Amino acid sequence: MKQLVVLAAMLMLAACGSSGQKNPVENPYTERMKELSSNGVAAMQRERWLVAERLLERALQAAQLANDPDLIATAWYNLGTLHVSAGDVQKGEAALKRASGVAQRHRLEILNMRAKVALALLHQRQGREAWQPDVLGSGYPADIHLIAARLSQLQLRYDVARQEYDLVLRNSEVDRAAMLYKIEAHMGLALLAEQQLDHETAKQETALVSNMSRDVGAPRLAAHALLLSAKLIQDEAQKRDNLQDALAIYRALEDLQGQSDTLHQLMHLAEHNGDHIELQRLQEELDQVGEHMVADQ
Amino acid sequence: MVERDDVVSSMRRQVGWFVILGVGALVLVLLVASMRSNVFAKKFYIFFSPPSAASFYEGQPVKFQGFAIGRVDQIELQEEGKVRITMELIDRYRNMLHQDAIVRVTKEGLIGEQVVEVTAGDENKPAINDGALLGYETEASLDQLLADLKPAVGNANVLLSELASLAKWMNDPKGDVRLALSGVREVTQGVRGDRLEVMIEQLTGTLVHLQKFAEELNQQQVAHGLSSSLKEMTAILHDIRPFSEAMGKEGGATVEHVNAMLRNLDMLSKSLDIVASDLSELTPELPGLARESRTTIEEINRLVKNLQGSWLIGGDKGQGSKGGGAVAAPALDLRP
Repeated sequence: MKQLVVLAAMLMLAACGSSGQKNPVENPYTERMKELSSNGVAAMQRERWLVAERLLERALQAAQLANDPDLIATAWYNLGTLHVSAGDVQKGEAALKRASGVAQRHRLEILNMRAKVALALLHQRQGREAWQPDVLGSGYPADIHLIAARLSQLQLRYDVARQEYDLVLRNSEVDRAAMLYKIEAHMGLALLAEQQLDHETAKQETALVSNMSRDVGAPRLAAHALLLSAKLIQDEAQKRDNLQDALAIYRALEDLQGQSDTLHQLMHLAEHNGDHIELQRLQEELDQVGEHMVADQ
Repeated sequence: MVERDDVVSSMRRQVGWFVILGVGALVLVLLVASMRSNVFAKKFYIFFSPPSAASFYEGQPVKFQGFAIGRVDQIELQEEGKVRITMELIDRYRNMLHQDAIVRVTKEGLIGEQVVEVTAGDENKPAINDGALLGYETEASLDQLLADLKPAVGNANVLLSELASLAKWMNDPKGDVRLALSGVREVTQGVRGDRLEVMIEQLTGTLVHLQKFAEELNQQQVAHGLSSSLKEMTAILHDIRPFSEAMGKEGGATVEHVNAMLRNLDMLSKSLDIVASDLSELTPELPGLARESRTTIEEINRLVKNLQGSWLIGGDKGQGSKGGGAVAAPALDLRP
């Protein structure tokens, strides 16, 4: 009996010892998936949609060859986000549903929540019935809180949105991705304050977005902040300067929607000042932007 | 006298036969030649209007599926400034051409003659009519291809500037890295030093590949800008080599400095991957280029992983083995 107890104890100790060891053999498909995902996400940040699509599709193939549900769900989520960002909503929705399905089946809670809130945000933007989550626990990554915040904001549940944005800002990580999430959270808070007619807070938040965008390099968010601050400030010279700066950034980014929004505001300003020559010039530029937008569609 | 008459008439007969046979042979040759060149074949005429007549000339062959079916008959500049080209085609091919057939100019091989080509069109549609006006399609030329290459060249230039800053950072004598290297002399020889040797070997391999890549581009006489960018990039990577060798000799660089280099190398590998994707998409006729750059990227990635796992940074396994792959940033659209 004693010998049996000793043997059992030794077996248990051996099991403990082996469980702490890492598998010395790396799955090449897992490594490939991570590499392709990383490059695909980098291409997405540069808005190189076709390149990103090709890389992320290959990442999905590698994940499937690795037969790892965690990687497969991540690959589907990345593809879904890519399609939504590139404007192909149908493909995006299908991919996000695949991500959610895999994550649910394998009980991958974080991945499931990420896909679920992203789908809800998509539905909300399309004017469809969308899931309304309560404030999520603090154990989720910042990007999930950010999506939940934007979703709640669009659903006019401002308290939930504010709490979610605060959770993003409380994140202690300091890498570029974390900083970008924080800038987006400040931009979200600025829009939230503007919606609630709290112009002072909105101005403070847009100032934060401008400063942080300059540090990290987030030109689109900087342009959004300039556009919003132009709506909030009264001084016409400063308003015009902000709009001109925003327009220059949108032009450099070839963001037609941004150019159109800014030109409308500049026209409103010119009309208010009775500057008909400037108004006509802006109208011509707006017409050109409109033609490009139609051609792109 | 009679005998003389017989000789003369015999000679006349022989000359007559000689002339008849000669003329007959000539007629036969002409007949065969004309039948072969479809001189007497029934013809029909169709038109097309290209934006410019620069690539066309009268008598230019018109081909269908690689077979000559006619020629360019007439090139006119009409009153309204439009170019109109008349093609004379052999009627027996008419049933093979359908009403939405189009005309385009192609080259026979890379440096061959320019040929006018007619496509078949939709087989379900009726055959083309005499006097029909066909659509004209421009096929990508080398000039257009080079114009398309511009984004790739642009990317290479971005990459070049990233590399330049990386090299500057590494080679700054007062920089963090150099100071760290000169200050720390705790050589830990024998502790996984073999991995560092492998790393340096791989870096050398990368340089060779990049050099080959640049040379190949230059040989193809295409995209000189891209070629020179890549050559400069190679030179910059040469600058990195002494640095890595110094690391090998002196060892013990601090974790944060080497991690900073890893981040830079990772950024470089991402940029290279994007350039390679551009090249593989835009230059299918330049075989080997994309493959070479892909090899380079893979080697750099392996290098990064080896560095992450090397004794220099006191590391064990790279960060890449943790987590489930990069996650895309959410598509929020925070437009005011």
